[in-house]
Amino acid sequence: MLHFSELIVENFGPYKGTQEIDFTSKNGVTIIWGNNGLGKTTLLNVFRYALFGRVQGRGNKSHSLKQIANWESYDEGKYGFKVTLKMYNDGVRYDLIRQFTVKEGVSQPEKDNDYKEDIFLKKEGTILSQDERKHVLNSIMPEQVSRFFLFDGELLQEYEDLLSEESSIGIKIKDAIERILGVPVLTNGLADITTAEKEFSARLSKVAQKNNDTQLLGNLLGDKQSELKKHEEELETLKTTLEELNVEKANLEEEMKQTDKARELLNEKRIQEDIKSRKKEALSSKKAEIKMLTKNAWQGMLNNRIKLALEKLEEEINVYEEKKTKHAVSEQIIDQIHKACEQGECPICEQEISESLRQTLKSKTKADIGFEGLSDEEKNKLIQLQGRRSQLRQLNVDELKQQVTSIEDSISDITVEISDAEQRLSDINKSLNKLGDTSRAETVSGDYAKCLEKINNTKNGIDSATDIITKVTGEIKNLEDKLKKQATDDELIKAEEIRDLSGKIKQIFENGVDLYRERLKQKVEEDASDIFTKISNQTEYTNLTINEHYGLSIVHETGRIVEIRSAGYEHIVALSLIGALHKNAPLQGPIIMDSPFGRLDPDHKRKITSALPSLAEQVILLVYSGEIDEQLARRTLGGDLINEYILTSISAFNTQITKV
Amino acid sequence: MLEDKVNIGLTLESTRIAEKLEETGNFEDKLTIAKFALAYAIKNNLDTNLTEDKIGDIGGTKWNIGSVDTDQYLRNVIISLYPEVKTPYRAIEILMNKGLTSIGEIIDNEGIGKISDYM
Repeated sequence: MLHFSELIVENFGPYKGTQEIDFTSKNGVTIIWGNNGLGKTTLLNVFRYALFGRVQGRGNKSHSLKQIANWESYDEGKYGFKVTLKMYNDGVRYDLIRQFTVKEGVSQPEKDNDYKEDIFLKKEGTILSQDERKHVLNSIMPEQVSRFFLFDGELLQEYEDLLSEESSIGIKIKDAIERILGVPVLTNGLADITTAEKEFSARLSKVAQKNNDTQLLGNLLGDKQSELKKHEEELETLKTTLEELNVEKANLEEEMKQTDKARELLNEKRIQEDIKSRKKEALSSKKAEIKMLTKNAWQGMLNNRIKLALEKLEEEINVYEEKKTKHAVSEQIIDQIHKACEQGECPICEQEISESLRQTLKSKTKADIGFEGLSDEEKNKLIQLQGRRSQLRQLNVDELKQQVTSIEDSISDITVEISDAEQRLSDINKSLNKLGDTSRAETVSGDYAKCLEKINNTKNGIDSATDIITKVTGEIKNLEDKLKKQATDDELIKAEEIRDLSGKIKQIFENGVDLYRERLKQKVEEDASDIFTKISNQTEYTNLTINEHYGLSIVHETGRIVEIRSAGYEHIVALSLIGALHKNAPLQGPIIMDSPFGRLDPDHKRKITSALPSLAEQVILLVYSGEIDEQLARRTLGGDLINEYILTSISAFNTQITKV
Repeated sequence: MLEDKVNIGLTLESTRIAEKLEETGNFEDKLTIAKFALAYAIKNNLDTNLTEDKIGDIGGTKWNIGSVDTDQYLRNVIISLYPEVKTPYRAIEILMNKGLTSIGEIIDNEGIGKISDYM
């Protein structure tokens, strides 16, 4: 079992000068308190650097080592940094020293290349060779499983990906889980015995080819074995390609996450540009429409005046026409009287007209009747007025004001929409400028789609190669069976026996791997459920259930699976899994957690704090004050709390580690 | 008796206002704007003294009456509404400039606003 006893850090990140943390040789929990920006994550990176020679930023991004050196020390001419990690593994003492110092001849280092890195691993005080060092470090803490020992609370969310078959992060985590559980020991054994079985099968075909009776079968078997080898090589190549593509996919997913904001902004920019362009087209069409209207709109503006003028004209015309009508009527009456006088009888009542009445009527018709006709001047005037009236009537066209108003309103609305889009675009551009180079954000989605297509094609290739291999393996089996029936000489019989034996051993290994995996999963499921029920507040959640990929789902007391779970519960499930893995792993070591309580409520924080000693023998907790209640943590952990340190800011680039 | 005009035009001030209206993008050209101004003047009773009015120097945009009134529609408007006018194109020029001057006063005081507000 691995146990960290002391960490000495020198000019690493905000840790100026030489500072140390004594974890002692006791098992239990060490809490390091530190507010944001004081170097909690850097401390996690100190361990990572000591063990693996790299540091990791937010989002799994690796940092340039030169940037890690303490700035104040750098300004004082002290370049580089050094980390010493003292530890015990199965009772053997190791001192691991890794330092980044300036190369000879470089007066002021500017880049990583101006530095050199030295690594020393002392075993009981004796420096080990490079090969021994690599072997020991890889045995006590392989980097592939480091996520279960050194983890950032923010990354616990990734464990949800284990529930998804397609997630490349899930595949990576599953691989790491199998490593920590020791599955590769068996799978490597299975690979070795498979190779041996193939060799014995090849030997069998060669022996058969030597004998005249079995030569034909031996040749056929040899051909099929070559064919199988070719397809297996092809399958291996495809599997390697798939692994590489999955790594590429995971990196692209990470890039997508990192460029999430930029991609969102670029997408919004495209939408706004599209809106702007469509609105400008609409504006241009409305402007063309209004131009068409205003071309003749002026004519409609005259309608009121034309109406007034027509009314006035009608009045004038009426006067003349009335006079003209009255005169015509009076002329007609006089004409009638004249006729009656001449005929001596009234044409209406047919009564006789007496002489005296005829004289009276004649004298009346000769007098002025007061209904004179139009003079020539008046007649001309009337014709003029009628002409004007006809012309004015022709000038009366439709008013366009309503249509112009409607288009102007539309133009006003569209202009506001364009202005809104422009304002939004300006804001987007400002945000994009703040993000710096966004060229990758524009291409990463396309690269991701291409990568998915390649993965799909490779999977199809693997499926068809697997089908062919199954078919050829069957054919080989048939040939081997036939050969068995025809075998007479001792050498062939012995070769067959060895081939059979290797096949049986392989079968045992295959079954063993499956069984071991299955049992491990059951054990992990049981232990994770045990931890989960201890730290979960929801009593209706009875246990966890594990899937093929070690993904854990919450089971409700009704037996139903809780499909949607909160971010807080995601953390609780992830912590349960990590605890279960530590319980079942052949490799045992400390857990160093950075801010694991972020999304949890106080009760869950308390329960998890209380469960910490059961997760691993040594737990180092990096938390900010307030993330958990200090007094409550002390009370909850009791004797299991063996050390407390506090990070104090001396300046922005100088943090002091002090024992509480 | 005054002879009618063969070319009509805008004063410098009227041309300035016509240019402002043209910038709104709502009119095809200055001639459309001038006709719009003429209608505005008639509508708003700025049509007094159409024969005597002095409108100042025609130092701005000018047109031949053939291009201003290809179908003599404008002339018919004037002679139908103002039978006393014997020089319709002179009246047209006066009305165009009066209309633009009046619109210009509004623009200078209140901004250009909507075209429909002038209709």
